[in-house]
Amino acid sequence: MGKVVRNALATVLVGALLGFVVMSLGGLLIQEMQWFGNRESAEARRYMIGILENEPDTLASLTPRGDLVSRAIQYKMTQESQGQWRPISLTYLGGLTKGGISIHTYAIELRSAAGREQFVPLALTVANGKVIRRE
Amino acid sequence: MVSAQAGQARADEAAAAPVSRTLGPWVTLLLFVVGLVAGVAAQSYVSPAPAANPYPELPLIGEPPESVAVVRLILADDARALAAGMEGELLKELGAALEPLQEVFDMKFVGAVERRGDILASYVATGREQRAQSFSVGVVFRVSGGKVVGVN
Repeated sequence: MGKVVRNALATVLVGALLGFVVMSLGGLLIQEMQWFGNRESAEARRYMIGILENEPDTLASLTPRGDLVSRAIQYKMTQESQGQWRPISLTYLGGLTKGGISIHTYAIELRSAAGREQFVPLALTVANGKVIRRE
Repeated sequence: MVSAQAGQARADEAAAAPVSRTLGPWVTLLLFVVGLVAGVAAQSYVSPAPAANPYPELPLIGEPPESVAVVRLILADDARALAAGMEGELLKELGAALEPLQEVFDMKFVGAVERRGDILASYVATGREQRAQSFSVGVVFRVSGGKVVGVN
């Protein structure tokens, strides 16, 4: 009876492992080959919302840990831009994944307190779940 | 007599063993599929889909011909034509956007949006950087009034 249970558990485990690996590798392959376009990364979306909502902690958690001064500058910039611009829209334009690095581009509409509107793009480079470049 | 009974018991046990120690093919298949589904679910859990966008989104449009013309010149490595077709300030913006690429092999259009005649057309440029390694950067052209007026 014990052997039956062991066999059953082993079968389930092999299936689970295969499902996990196939989904992981298949997902990467689909992204690399651009079969269904590029899927927006959860980290890039969180980072964009962090920018628009002025969430310095979210931004800090999604960027590689830099030196003390760089982190302080990031907090300062977020504090200074607080309330200056109100987001109107956030559109994911698309991106590309290559060799573990993905690029995601966005278009943002903003309105200042004085009523001035801006329509600006932003490109994020994401690697290992962190935003390593923002332009 | 006792020996004969023990022998019979061993024979019964041996006959019963293959049935009780193996799973039938359908049960094995079912358990495998259950495992497969669990593996897929676990993978989805560790790499979740992006959170819902709390802001409105603009509809995506096709690739504007104005940015196509610039991309062609970049891919053709035609510095003379690029200089003739773009203002100095715009060339500086393009240089900054393509940083650190020294040579561009490919520029893939990924999407564009339009707002009151202002179009943002996004590309991913792939090329060679200073250390001869392949690298990709996001480049966004701003098109307005039938020409490229900005590069980010």
